[in-house]
Amino acid sequence: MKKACSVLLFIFVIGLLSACGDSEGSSSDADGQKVVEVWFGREDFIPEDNFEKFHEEHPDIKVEADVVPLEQAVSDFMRNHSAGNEPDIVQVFHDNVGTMVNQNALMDISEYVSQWEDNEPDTFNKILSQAWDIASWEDKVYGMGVHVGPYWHVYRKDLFEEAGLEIPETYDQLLDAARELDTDEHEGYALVGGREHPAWWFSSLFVSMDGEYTDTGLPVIDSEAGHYLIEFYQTLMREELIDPSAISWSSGEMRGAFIGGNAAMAPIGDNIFPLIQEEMNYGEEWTAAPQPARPGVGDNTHEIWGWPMMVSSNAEHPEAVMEVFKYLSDTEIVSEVAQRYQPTTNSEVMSSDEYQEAKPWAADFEEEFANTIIMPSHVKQGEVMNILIDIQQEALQNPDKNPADIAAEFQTELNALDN
Amino acid sequence: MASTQVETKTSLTQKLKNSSLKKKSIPYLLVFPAILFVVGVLGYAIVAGVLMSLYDMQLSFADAPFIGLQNYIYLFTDSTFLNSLFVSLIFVFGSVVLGLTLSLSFALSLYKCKRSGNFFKALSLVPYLISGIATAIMFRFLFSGDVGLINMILSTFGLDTVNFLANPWWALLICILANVWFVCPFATLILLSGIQSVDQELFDSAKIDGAHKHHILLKIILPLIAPMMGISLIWLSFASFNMFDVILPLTNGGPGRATEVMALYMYNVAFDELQYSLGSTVMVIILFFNVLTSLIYLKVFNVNYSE
Repeated sequence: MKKACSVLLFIFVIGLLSACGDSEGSSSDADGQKVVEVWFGREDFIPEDNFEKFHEEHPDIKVEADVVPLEQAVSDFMRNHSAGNEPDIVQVFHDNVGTMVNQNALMDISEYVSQWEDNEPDTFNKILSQAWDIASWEDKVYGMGVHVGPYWHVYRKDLFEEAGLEIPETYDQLLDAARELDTDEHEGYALVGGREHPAWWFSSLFVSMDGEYTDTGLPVIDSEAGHYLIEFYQTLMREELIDPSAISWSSGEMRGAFIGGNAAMAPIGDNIFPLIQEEMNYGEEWTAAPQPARPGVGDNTHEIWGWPMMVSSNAEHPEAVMEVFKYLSDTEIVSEVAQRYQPTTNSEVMSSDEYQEAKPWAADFEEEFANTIIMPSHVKQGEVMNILIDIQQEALQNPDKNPADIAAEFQTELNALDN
Repeated sequence: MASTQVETKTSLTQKLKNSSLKKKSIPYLLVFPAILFVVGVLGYAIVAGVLMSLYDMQLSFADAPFIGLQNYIYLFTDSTFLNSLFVSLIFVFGSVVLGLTLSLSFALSLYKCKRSGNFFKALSLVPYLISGIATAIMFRFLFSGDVGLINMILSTFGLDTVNFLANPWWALLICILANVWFVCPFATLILLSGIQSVDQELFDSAKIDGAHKHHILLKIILPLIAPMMGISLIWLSFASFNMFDVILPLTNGGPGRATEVMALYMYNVAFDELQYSLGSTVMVIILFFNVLTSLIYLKVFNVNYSE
């Protein structure tokens, strides 16, 4: 009995001590080093040397890197921020920046960015403006986008050549090509129609169709571009140019259909191209091009997404944080990550021979990549995304419904988010 | 001398009483850490959730004003939530009916399974031991439109294929099947333990009296395992109302919002839209349904541990 009591008491005390443990984030370790804790959104974003060179160059700074998936990074960060346990740098989907700023969870680093520009113009000027734009909110910079990712269109070159078709430049041409290429062996087109992912593809197509956003970051779906986009989805479904079950497809199924030769074309993110290249040769069996344009609209616009590294409002060593940014965007370091994973905002890397050799399609997108716009985001971006998915699903489920009616119905829901 | 004897006797009685008290208290003492854990984790979450549902806490905004019951009023006037409530009720009803029927069948089969009985009992638990995500992926492979096993079988027999996950009613049915596959084994074990506790002599007597198998089932087994059926139903309803980890990777609520049950709606609202208070409100509503159905089952099936 006494033993049982002692064991229970011991467990209780241990639990109590654990619960009352130090909740302050450590910014300096026992050796007096400045500690910079970084949460990466994917392991692939961590440089191959895992900050070894950084530690050699900066013996006074210790980087502690961890991986917290992008999907849960914001909520985990905010919870830890409330408890004073958050990291100094967190990588998030860029459309969460407004939310984090509104919670006073991020630090305005505009001053430090200016210092970088003044003191090290050579390294600073290599960085595209998108790196700062993607981590900004209301003209203040709260972090840095080291990697960004656009969506392009991929085409089965072998099928196009066999049918004697040109790569489409407009969406009408794309639909014509899909009609031509839709056979018993393969579908004309593949898309992500399911609810598994945010409406990234839908949004990218919307912008390329000259879709516009309000000043608060709401997409104007009840517009010519919005109607055209809805009708585009409806046409694909009505004419069975896509798999009939595409409404439940995730990105994996779309890319599998393309790589497996079950679909002639698809909108796919740049980061997936290396996977396609493993199965087929670029320029021979497959090719890629910037998003087509909406007929009647001159130049189209290309949208990018990003996963910026945001700085906590409680970061004690912002200078050390900036050194981490400089390291992550250093040509040598970021080149390795960009060659195997996502494109970078370091222009020197994007135009380097090594990068273009590793990613043979890169040269075809150099100009478009430099002129991409960052997808605008609303402060209630999660709700915006859910409404966009609803629109996408409504279009696929009701291919004969008037697109203007669908657009008007959901625009009301979108506009309500501003209230 | 007599006084000393009385004192000794009293002291002995006291010692015995103390000893008996200690023995009686040991089980409670051993259960205490578990209770502490449940109260600490679940109790805290429920109380905090109920309180949070009375505020307007959204991660997109810094302030969180007290708004009373406005979140509840909003939900019961919001078509998306009402849809998820309706979907949940169909989902739970389907899961409970199918789940109870199957688990009763499995329990009766396992009871009859004398040879290698333990092996089959262990085997029947396998679906419960597989994670929800793995179950969802398995069902996705089975029911995919183009490369799904079921459609391949249908094609082999010259039948038309079905876009199971693209059709709202089929998708809901697939979700119910996946859920039943996941929650049925535990219900089976509960019912099996009930059947095994029935006195074998009752079966023998019934057989001698010429009772048919369905009489034995309806007149002996079902009435005697009624409390276990109550427990089993509580489990099936509770697990179905809370079901989230199978549906999320299987359909994520689609097509449209045809399979968006309340638990999934709660997740989307709280973690995609970062509306924590609204998510907490849905949690309270799910809790209400769980408590309500549990009380009904306990009452109907006369589950009373004191007897």
